Amino acid sequence: MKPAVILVGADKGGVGKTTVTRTLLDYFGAHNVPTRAFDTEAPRGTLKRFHPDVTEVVDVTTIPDQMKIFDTLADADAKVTIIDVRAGLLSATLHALRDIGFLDIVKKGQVTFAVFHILGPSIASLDEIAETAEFVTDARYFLVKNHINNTTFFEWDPATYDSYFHRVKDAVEISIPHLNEMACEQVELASVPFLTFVANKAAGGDTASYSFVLRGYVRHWLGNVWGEYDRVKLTEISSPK
Amino acid sequence: MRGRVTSRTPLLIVCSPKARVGRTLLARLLIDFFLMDDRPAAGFDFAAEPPSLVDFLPEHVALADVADIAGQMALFDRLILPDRAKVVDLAPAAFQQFFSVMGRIGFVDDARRHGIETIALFIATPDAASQRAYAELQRGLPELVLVPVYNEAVGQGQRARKQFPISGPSSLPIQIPALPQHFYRYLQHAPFSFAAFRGTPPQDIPLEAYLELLRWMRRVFVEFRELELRLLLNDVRNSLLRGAS
Repeated sequence: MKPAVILVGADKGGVGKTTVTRTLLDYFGAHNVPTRAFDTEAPRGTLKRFHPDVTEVVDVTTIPDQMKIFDTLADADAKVTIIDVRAGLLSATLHALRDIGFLDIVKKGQVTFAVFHILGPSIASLDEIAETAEFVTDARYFLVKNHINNTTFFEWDPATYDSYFHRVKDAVEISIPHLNEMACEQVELASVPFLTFVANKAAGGDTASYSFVLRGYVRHWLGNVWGEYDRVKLTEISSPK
Repeated sequence: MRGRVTSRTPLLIVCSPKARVGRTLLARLLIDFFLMDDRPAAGFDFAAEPPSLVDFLPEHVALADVADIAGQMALFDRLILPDRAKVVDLAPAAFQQFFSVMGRIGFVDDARRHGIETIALFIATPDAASQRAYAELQRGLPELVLVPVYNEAVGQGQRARKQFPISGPSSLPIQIPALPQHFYRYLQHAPFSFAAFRGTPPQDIPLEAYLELLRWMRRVFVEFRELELRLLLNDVRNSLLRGAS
């Protein structure tokens, strides 16, 4: 099986990159796909708090850490590598991937590459689509509309919407639905994966006492997110036809 | 007949999208039915209009609300505990929101895993809104045991039986017999416990009226027991089917 790299990023902050990465880790975990993750919020890390067993904090702008990620793709037990790119670093990371020749091996079909571009509800965020598109001609490019904060994406203005979302021919849209704020905060406080929260477990595996209602909301929401991943056949990334 | 009949803890939601169909009276009877059987029971009241369930049985009933997440947590986090029979008197104003939350959090299936059977006692009336709400509930929450209730006191529901199709043997309708109209005034003084009423004849009710009310209670309770038996038989049937497969 050839390795796969999923880049989750945006140049804008606060659009839910880490939330989406967490749902991806839960998704691949539930499908028994060995996955590792790199958290680029160096030095402290954000993703690592939720998925410490599979996450390493790296500074993706440094060569040693780039080597740590990309030189190990073929040998790692995990065939899917997810990189949660810090706000403002998506363009820089894509440039770096081109410079180190990563995009060339993607073109040759030696690695599967996918970009989850998390969009915010602003023109500046949408302008990133055109900038990003030139790097993803051989990748699977997902435009992720994150509604977790109840935002909209100019759906009320079809001309604006089409000019951004239909500009890149092979881009696929994914919608992350809204999650109740209190449920979202409770998972944050618990610092566990969404699935662990749903299963009412604490970080150490002990039974927790999370609200049944909040767990229900998270389970329902996660089911809908995974429904989106099923719709775009995400598991094919780890076992391409 | 005493003792536990059902194998699961019942959660009974007395509901209708219409007001003044006998919802609170049915909820009161259910709570007292369990209490008289020495089974702990709790009621949850959406306090539509006074006197409401909490006024009649203040020791056994808590107020409920699902308008915000705090209210939803306070209610559903208690309903999921299999510690006692529970009766929800669901006001029409909260009808949609309650069942919407119930669906979104996957309550019924999870409750079943906790040993709780969720039963909606839907007071059937022949109006279009009621029929539509019933159909939506049947379609939206197919895992719910949805039981039509024909309350003879508000009448007419039985005439529309075909509009309230049942989904299985557990969902056979319940019939609440009517009392002579003037008897209802004896039941309207809050607080009021049918259990206490049965034990001690009140001073202000003529003996004949009292005996008639007891007969009526017995008829209603027979309906409740038959519902419990149907649920039990369904459990037995399902476990036999599981064993055979």
